[in-house]
Amino acid sequence: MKKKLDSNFEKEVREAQLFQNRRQFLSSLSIGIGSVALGALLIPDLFSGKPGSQEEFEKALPHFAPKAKRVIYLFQSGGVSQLESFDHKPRLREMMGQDLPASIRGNQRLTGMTAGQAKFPLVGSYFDFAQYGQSRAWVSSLFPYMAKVVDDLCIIRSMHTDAINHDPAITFFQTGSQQGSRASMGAWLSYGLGSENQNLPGFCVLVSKGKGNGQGVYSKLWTNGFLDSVHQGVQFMGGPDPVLYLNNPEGTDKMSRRKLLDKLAELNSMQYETFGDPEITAKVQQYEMAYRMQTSVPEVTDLSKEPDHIIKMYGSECLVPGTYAANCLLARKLSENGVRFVQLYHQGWDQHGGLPSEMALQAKDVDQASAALITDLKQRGLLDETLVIWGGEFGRTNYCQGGLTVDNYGRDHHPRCFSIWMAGGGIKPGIVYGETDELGYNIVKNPVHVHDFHATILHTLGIDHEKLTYKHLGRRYRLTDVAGNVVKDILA
Amino acid sequence: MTLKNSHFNILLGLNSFIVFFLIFEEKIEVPVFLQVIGRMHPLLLHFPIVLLIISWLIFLFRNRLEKEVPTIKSIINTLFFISSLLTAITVIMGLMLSKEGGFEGSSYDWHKYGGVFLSILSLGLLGYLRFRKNKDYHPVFVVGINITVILLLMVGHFGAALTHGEDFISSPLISKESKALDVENAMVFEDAVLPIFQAKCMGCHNSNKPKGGLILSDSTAILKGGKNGKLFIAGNPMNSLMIERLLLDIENQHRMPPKGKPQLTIDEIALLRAWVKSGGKFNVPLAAFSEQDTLFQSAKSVYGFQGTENYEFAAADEDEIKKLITPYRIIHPLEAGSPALDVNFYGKDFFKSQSLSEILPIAEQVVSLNLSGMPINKEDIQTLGKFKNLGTLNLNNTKLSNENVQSLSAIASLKNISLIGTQVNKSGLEKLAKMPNLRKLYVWNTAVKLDELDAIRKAFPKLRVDAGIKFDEHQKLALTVPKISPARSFFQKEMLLSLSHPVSGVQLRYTLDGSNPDSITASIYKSPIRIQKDARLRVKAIKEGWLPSNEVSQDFYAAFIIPNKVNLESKPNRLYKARKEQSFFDLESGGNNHADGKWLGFQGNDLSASMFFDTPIKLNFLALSIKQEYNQHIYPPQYIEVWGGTDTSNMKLLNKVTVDLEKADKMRKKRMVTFNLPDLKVSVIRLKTKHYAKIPEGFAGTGNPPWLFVDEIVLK
Repeated sequence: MKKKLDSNFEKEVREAQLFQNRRQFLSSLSIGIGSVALGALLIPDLFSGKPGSQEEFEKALPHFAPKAKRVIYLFQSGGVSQLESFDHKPRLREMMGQDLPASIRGNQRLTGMTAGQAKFPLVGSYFDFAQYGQSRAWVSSLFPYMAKVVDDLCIIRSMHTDAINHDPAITFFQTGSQQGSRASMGAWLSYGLGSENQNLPGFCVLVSKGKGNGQGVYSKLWTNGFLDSVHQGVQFMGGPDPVLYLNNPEGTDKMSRRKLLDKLAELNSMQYETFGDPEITAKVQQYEMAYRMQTSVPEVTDLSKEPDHIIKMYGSECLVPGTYAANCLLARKLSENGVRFVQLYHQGWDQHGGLPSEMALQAKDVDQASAALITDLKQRGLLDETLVIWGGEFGRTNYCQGGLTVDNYGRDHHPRCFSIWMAGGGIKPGIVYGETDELGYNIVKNPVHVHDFHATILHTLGIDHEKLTYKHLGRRYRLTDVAGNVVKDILA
Repeated sequence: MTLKNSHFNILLGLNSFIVFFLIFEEKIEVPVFLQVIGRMHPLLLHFPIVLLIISWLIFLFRNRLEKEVPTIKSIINTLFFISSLLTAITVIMGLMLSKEGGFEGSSYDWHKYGGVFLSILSLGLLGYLRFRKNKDYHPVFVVGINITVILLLMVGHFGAALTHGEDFISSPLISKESKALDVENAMVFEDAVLPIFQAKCMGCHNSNKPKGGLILSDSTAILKGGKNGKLFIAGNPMNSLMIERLLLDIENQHRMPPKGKPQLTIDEIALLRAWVKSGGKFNVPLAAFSEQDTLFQSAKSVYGFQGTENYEFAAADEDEIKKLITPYRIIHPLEAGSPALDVNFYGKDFFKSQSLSEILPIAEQVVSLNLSGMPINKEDIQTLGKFKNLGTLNLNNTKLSNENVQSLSAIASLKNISLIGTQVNKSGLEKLAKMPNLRKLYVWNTAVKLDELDAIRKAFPKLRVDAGIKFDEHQKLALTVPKISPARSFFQKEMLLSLSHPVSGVQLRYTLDGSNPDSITASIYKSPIRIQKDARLRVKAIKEGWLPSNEVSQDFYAAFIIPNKVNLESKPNRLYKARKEQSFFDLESGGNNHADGKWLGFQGNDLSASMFFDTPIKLNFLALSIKQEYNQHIYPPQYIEVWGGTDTSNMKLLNKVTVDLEKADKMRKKRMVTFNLPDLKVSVIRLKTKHYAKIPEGFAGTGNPPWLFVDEIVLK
């Protein structure tokens, strides 16, 4: 009996070692790739005797001199209407109530929410547009603060996506695939470039909710997917405990926590030597990171020392934890402290009905703080090296969903064209890129697909999107899958 | 080989044809098939060059070679004949090629007549070889063959100048320095426009080869234009010949550069367009344009300004770098393979006195250093002086004082300095501004005053000083709304309400009687408010220098009576069960989210609940707290009935309330539907709702069955 157990155990160990040869080799490439630094995190000699290719991968990144070091992505979840924000279509007002010509709609599939509509009455923006700045870009009256910083923005009016519903569309934007299980953009960057500041996660997530109709956002959007779990996004909450389970349990002080971690690391390294499972080292790294975060997080999340004029700039809501404004201010602080990728989500942009009233509330939530973030980064000299992105997962239809009255209408999801903006690191300021037809249904010039968008972002960070790969399930994966072109025209 | 008459005659014939061709050049038309042969000129010409040089080399060493190869003279004859023959054929081809047109200028003339002369000279030398009496070579022949080789090299050189441009060979030596523009000193024409002409246009439009009469090498010639007129109309790119030609379809015969030649990039065309639009001037500095200007932007795209620096120092030892990295001191190369390093410090509690000096072994390689927020001292600032290649320095929010600034100005290589939140003032700034390479200085939130900056900006026009936005002190913004806690609206005997606001120094004005919380008569919040009866709390935040916040209000209900038993007769939706019947009297309010476990949701069936009392009781008031959110199809019921009696089999209708539908834009998210009950003792009451079968016309979700959400029942 004992003999049998022994031989079983032996077999297990042998299999684990075989497993190690293949998977662990790849995994050791991922740990600390692009950052010479991460090695220092590891327990000494944990990787002794491992293939030297890790070095080669490290040396290869970034592929060229990056313009941007960090990204702040202000994701407007729900699908902001381009027709009430940045894509000015006066013709729609003139044709108010007229049916959308079938020739323009083409073979565009519709959502179940409007597919049954007998008519597709065009509806113009309830809000007036005006031109601003040197770039003379059109901005609607909903975004007076953004209008003031328009010369720092690159407005892309020709975004398009494959998905037509929220979950696949957001997942597509975040991970490059409509189905889940791939790594999200922040995780890819953490994998490719490592963390700048080893005392904070390389990928932080901040969620806020507006007053408009919207859907939830789920942690699958900031998943590490097939990448090592160290690259997963860490959510910062509003409230007294911004990162859950970070503080020591009651009765444990810093010294005993340190001792505990050291002993635990010893045990883990023994376990690692036996089984070679890379998740064990990932776990050790996470413990160490969490330990250091006990000091760094309170320092970063403390907004009480921000001067009064900063509070005024972001709006006094920025002191209310969990609001969009507070998250913008926190995003600036995280970014300033070297967090590679700060992902914000603001929910509530899904205006199927009651668009004029709901969108006004949503815009009020985000306008001042988004513009303040640009101004604040700029005056700190950080905008040059920080890429800020603002936009949703798709646009909204040029025709009305449901009843159409002078001051009330709704718009359905529209994947064929929508507007976003980027600002800062590596992107030309003060330009408007791409064009849609006069009814705002199809793109007529310079289309930018989601894959192109990803390729461009990676480019500004010094990464060739075709070279940042990870082998999983027998093939190499990229954020841009097998597509994507860098939009050179918008690069500074 | 012995040269025969026939050899000489062939050559004589070919050379006669050449002379004939030259004389009647103007009148000769070259047929198309011969043009093809003409175009092989650049291909064939390499043969006579090589052969002639070989025969010359053999000729030079003939005496030494003759001992081993007795037939050396015959070999010289053969080689010389073949090379003369090929020379003549090459010249004929060249003449045919020249008939295609497009070749003008001095290089062309030198090449053409030099080539003809070379062929005739070869003929003469061959004649000497054929007809000489003496076995030795006459000194005139020796001179002649040397002249031939020299002539050959000259002709070859002029030919190369025609096809590749004047400075083709020497150009790598001439323009060795990096392409990137120096933003401050670059001139628009000389440094941005002319290089495009040189690279993409002047192969054909130079003074030697002015195709179409156009020369692009200098301002006078450019303004003159070509045979089709002026090159551009200043300020009007879309009507300018040059821009038109650049934008024509690639297949169009007027397209420039023509198909097959190196094309201009989009950015280069954009640059030329922007230059024409700006007036096409020749002596304007790039710095005269704003950063947003298309000209500036496209110049940046074409040439690049930053990041293209070549670092000449050697890379530091990798192991050395690794040793210096800690979680609080991160060192990265600027890009893969670059020796230049970027160093960032984090965690002010971990910054020790030796933290900075420890990296001195790699000081040479550090080009960018971030000490933002670190507790650096005087010694550290002196240490900074040892980083001789430092370009970017971030000292934001450090204790840098004016006295320390002097040590910074010793780092001549510094280009960008960030001093946000430091004690630096005007005099410190002036010291820094004098630094030779400094381009950007960030001084927001320092002791430097905005009006002091103007003088510095004027004195140092190359330096960009960013002092942040000018915040208008008088601009008033609205305060955010105050927060009321607890969030629940129901209490049994009494309740303590507290108010809070994130901005310090705010005054909170409130009323409890439903009146407007103005800034004069309304109570000022100091400590938690105790309420013992129904109340409507209305609050506003007020602070000097700010606009008052929007009002927030919350209703509070005293639920004095709790039944002994509650029975829920209808089934709530399985997703929104809350705590079933217990939810009605738990004093908990539902929140904004109807799925928070505090709301009971019904769809398709009506709500029916009975409340039992052990001892008969007199009730005069009942209220039902419901949610309204039309977009989510959450509506009030059509009407509500309250029945009561001594037991469930003995009940009568006490009251019935028809609930109006509030307009979508006036909709309250929470609503209390209230009943007054007749003066009657009851042991049981039953509440029944009747829903709309379908959402009425004109409301969100028309035609669908509505939802009802209830969180509490209040009895008095």
